[in-house]
Amino acid sequence: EEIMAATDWRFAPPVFKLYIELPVPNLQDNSSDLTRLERALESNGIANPLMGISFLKKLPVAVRENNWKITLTVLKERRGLRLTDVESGDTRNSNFGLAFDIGTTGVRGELLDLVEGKVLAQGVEYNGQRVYGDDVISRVNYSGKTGGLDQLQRAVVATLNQLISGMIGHAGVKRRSITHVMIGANTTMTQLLLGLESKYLRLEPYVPVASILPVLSAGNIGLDLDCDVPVSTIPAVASYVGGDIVSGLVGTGIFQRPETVLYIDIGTNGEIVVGNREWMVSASCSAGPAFEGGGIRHGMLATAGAIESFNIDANGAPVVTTIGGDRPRGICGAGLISAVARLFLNGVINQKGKFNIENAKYVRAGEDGAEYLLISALSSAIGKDIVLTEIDIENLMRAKGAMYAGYQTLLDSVDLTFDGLDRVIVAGTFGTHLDIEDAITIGLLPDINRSKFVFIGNGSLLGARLSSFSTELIEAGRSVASLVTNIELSENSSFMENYTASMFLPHTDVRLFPSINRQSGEPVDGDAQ
Amino acid sequence: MALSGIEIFKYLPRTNCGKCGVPTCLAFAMSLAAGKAELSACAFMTEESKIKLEAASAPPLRPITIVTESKPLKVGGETVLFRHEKRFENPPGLAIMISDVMPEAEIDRRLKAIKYYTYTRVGATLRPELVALKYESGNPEIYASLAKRAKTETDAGILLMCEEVDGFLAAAEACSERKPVLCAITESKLDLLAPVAIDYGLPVVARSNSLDGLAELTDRLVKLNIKDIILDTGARSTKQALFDQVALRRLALLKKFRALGYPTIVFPGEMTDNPLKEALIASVMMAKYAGIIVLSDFKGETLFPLLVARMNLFNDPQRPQATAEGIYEINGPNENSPVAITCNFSLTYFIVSGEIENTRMPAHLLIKDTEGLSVMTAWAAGKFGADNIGGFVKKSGIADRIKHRKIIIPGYIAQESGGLEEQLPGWEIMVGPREAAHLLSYLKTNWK
Amino acid sequence: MAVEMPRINYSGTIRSIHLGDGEKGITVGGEVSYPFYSFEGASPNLPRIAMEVYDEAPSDWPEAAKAPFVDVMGNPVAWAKKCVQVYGAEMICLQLQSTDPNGSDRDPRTAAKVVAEVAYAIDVPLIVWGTANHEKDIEVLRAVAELVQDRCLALGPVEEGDYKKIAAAAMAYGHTVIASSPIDINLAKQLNILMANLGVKSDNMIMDPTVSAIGYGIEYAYSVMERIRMAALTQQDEKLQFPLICNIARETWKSKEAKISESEDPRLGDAEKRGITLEAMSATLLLLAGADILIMRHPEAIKLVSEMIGDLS
Ligand code: B12
Ligand code: SF4
Repeated sequence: EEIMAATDWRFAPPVFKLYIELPVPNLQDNSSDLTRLERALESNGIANPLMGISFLKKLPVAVRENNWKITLTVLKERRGLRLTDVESGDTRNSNFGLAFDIGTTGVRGELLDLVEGKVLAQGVEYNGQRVYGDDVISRVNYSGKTGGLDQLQRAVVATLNQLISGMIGHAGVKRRSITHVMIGANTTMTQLLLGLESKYLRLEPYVPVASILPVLSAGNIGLDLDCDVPVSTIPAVASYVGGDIVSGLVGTGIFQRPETVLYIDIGTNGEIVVGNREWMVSASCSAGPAFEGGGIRHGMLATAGAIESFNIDANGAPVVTTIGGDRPRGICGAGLISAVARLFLNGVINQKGKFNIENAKYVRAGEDGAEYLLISALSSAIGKDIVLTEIDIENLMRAKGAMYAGYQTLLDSVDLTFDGLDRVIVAGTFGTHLDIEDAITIGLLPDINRSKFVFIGNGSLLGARLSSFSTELIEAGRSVASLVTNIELSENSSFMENYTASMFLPHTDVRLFPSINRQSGEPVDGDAQ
Repeated sequence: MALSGIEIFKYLPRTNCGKCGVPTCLAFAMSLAAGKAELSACAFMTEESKIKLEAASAPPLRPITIVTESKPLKVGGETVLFRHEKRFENPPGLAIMISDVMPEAEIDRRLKAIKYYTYTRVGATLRPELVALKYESGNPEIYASLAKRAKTETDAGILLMCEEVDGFLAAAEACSERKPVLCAITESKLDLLAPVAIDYGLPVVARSNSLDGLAELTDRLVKLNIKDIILDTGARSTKQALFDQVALRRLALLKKFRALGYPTIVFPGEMTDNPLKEALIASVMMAKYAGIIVLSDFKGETLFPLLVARMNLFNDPQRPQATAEGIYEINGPNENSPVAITCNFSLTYFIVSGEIENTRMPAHLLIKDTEGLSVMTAWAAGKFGADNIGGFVKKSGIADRIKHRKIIIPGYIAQESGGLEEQLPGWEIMVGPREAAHLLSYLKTNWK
Repeated sequence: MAVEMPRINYSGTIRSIHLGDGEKGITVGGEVSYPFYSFEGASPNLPRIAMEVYDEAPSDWPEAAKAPFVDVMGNPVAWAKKCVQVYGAEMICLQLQSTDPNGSDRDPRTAAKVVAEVAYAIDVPLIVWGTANHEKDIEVLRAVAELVQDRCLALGPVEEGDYKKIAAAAMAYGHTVIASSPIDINLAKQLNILMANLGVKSDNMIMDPTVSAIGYGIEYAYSVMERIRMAALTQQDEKLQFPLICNIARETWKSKEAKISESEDPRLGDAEKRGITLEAMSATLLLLAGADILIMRHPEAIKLVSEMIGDLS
């Protein structure tokens, strides 16, 4: 039911099970368990398979438990086939995988049936690392402290283990039948998961330890699974454009099609990609946490009681709706965008996001400068007035400005404009709550044909899931990661120009937002373009 | 390179092998387009692609090198009409005119002037590079001895302003290693002078007072295998000179008209005898497209402004505009006024300096170079942390301007205050508000 | 082979703005092509030069700059008159240095009175330039706008931080607004949009891009002005189709290179000629980038730049 997913790839998970009945050893043939196994494998077309010592530790018991009838779990690696598990009897139809998207704030997982190619269970948890810092930089700093790297690794592994127990419990799947883990995560999260030094991600010239990591095993990182279960990570492009983005590019099939697409992950790092099967350019706009309510006076995550839409009624009074219809506790990203859009269209704030004090019915002076009263203390669930300050608006305008300026800079670098885009794919759980018109009114999304927009929710999880079902897509992840050309915005003077121009509602260049300016009564010069 | 990154990309192997020093073929195409990479860095291009790219990468306006004793002077090789479109590549050479009929003392002064007027400014050395020797005596020996003196007593590139074969031969012989420029060949003197240029392998100035005439002249010179050509339209009025320069630059860049794709030479000294006005005309020619500017004389009061203006117009506008590092005095501070520090992102500088101004309280504002990044972005990139702030404060010299040892840092980098205390022993690190707008209330309560 | 120069197709023109009043009023702007490119479209108005007068005797001027005005520097009215009558000034720009909160911090009423005296002592257009301290300029320029109601002044620098109050007063009393932005084409355009939203008519607004002198960042102003003219003339950017005013003289004469005597550094040559050249050359480069009004100081520099305008037009 994916609206936008990679197509015509062969269902061939990276791990398969092989049932074998070995000849029972006797005095004439008392060759070793391994030699016996290798002979049988050879007749099954598998020559000199790879394996670790932990596999051999399981072999002698497993072969004898069910009279030498065993099922092998085999991982297809680039260098050949690796034996990762051996169970007695025929366990061929219990082959399950895990797909994870490890975000800076939240971790989402899925339990997958690698035989049927289905999702059996899902789970979401806050990333246990949050206690050590809200954003990638504060965690990288924490990792610099003695024992920091360890604590961070253990914290995120604990979250993964929590999700694993939850999902296998929910679906009634045995822990031992998990044969593969696929992870999509940004570069910092990937390196912290593997306990790799991350200081150099942060310092110029921003260098990851590895963009394409070798397959590791559950034992390496302390996952609550059989120690040999292979853990694959989707490759990254650069320090600030990670596997979560490559996963989205693979999962949505952008790499397969000639159409030119703008892929946007609206989140703290604000990663964006422009491209098609021939070429791709990426950048990190580092929008910051504003879209998740971060840095906003009454900001909160999109949970119960969060204001998610705002309007002004006929006699100028604010009207809001909250998630779950509860009494308002604060305002989430979507609510913030809706509020700024409506305040602008109704002339309460000017194009610089400053309050026009003249129509000041709900505008008052607060400690952080002027503020707008959204909900009075009486009707709020926190016993205090819920307000939107000029600094909140400024923060959102910087975030949307960084995103829009990023799109322009990428399009400029390949001689394109917004009209040259066949499609705009918005990823990130935040995207699904987003009202397109409000997002365009504030200049977060380009003012183009609305039918071009597709909201895919968690692109990283989508890619991790589909890659768990197909070695072709795993291979696609490697080639996409090496195809994407990353553009460092901090050294790009045209980005800084575009950024200043984007800190205006909807934008300094009125011709880029024709439909908005008709609404707000602004004459659009050179209109019918 | 005239082609854009995406256009060049089509000619590359697209294997993204990274052996050219950048991760992908598209990245290599983009650095080629920006003139920051050499075609030879990729060894995997097909021969056919290489030829196509080489043809496209030849600058529409030929770069010409003029020999000097020190660094050779490169002129021409330009690719844009406006510096903001990318950058101007090679600043025009400045020449002092010396006639061989001038009195001995005057010739001495002028020869010395080339080296004498050397200035250093913002880490750069500014000086003129050329000498133009005018043949007016009619006596080849006198002209040759002047040429010899120019070669031995200066390191300048030499322009021989002489259209008489005997005079030119004598002078060319006297300074042949310096590869003097033959100025100038006209249609009528072509057959006489071209052979000399060919024998000595000299760049030549082609002069004609019509664009058609110039184009025909360069065609004939190229047929004689003379490729290093500098154009002189003979314009002797500022208005005509401006028109000619714009016409030639547009023909070369917009129309890719190879026959006029050469740098130009102008003579402001022949358009006025007022030295100050001559300098203004030279500045117009510098902005609108001259390759070599011959001045009637060098005097500090006019040459210095010209050299600085040249440096300004020809620096690279691509670097993001950031505020210059240093100590900014706001509202007239003294040794007891507070010291605050911030980054050099121009938006931050405008906000913070504006807020301090509005407090009407005198303060020293330290601006640290963070390569144009805002406070938090620079902190995140490790460019605005305790170590580099501490080092900067020490070398900024602020300590000699104030009696106290207190510094106010931005609220958003409060986490650096501990580290800063170690870096700046004896200093009190005051953590200011997160938003600059709160500086007024902060200073009122915390600065007595 | 007839060689034809490629032409630029200019799809926009710069607004013509009238300054001052009476028959000495002046119209600037109206360009149809890039500065001095009369070979592809003659622009109706030449760039003009305003002579600057200070409303209190400046103290830190080099000798060369003081010489022409030493007899009038303490009296702005006499100074303005001398500029018009002796040096033929077509416009005067009164710099309100006395109102600088860090200087004499003269109160707005007194400062406005001085402006009125100058305004009524001359008939050429008068530009009034505050100190860019938002709080103080709001008080001073509003007082000036009200007191000098019957003369059409040009008031500035009006910035994003103080435009609402000052522009409102300018509109109320029919003065021209000088919209000043910090060397950034987008911030300039944003300010013009905000002014239009406030109701400032587009035929009494001119733009100050904030200029600096040779050696002190002139290239930033030069490129911003070129980009503004390119957007206005070839990209139909109506919000940038305004004349440009450059307050350049004070930038050149305050630099240390305009002050060092020849004896201190013989390589820098004669101090007076050097100061005049720095001012005239900075002004000339800004003319090439699109300046319509130059605020200048030294009569010699003004003569040179006027000649250049004549030669190039
Ligand atoms: C635009 C932007 C960028 C631009 C750069 C623009 C620039 N010139 O700096 C680009 C895209 C290049 C960028 C890059 C990065 N960014 Co960034 N970026 C932002 C964004 C959206 C706005 C920054 C901005 O314009 N601030 C405006 C200026 C005026 O603010 P300021 O300089 O801090 O000044 C204010 C205050 O500090 C104060 N102040 C300033 N000086 C002083 C002095 C005194 C004495 C006082 C009292 C007060 C004071 O007053 C000012 C106004 O109130 C912010 C998020 C946000 N919404 O703010 C993230 C943000 C700053 N970036 C962030 C990060 C992590 C990065 C990157 C490291 C990673 C990434 N995601 O790409 C990189 C940096 C290195 C690299 N590899 O490129 C983080 C920083 C996190 C942290 N813990 O600090 C932020 C907060 C977003 C986030 N949470 O992820 N970024
Ligand atoms: S060396 Fe050639 S093929 Fe390899 S990445 Fe560079 S441009 Fe591409």
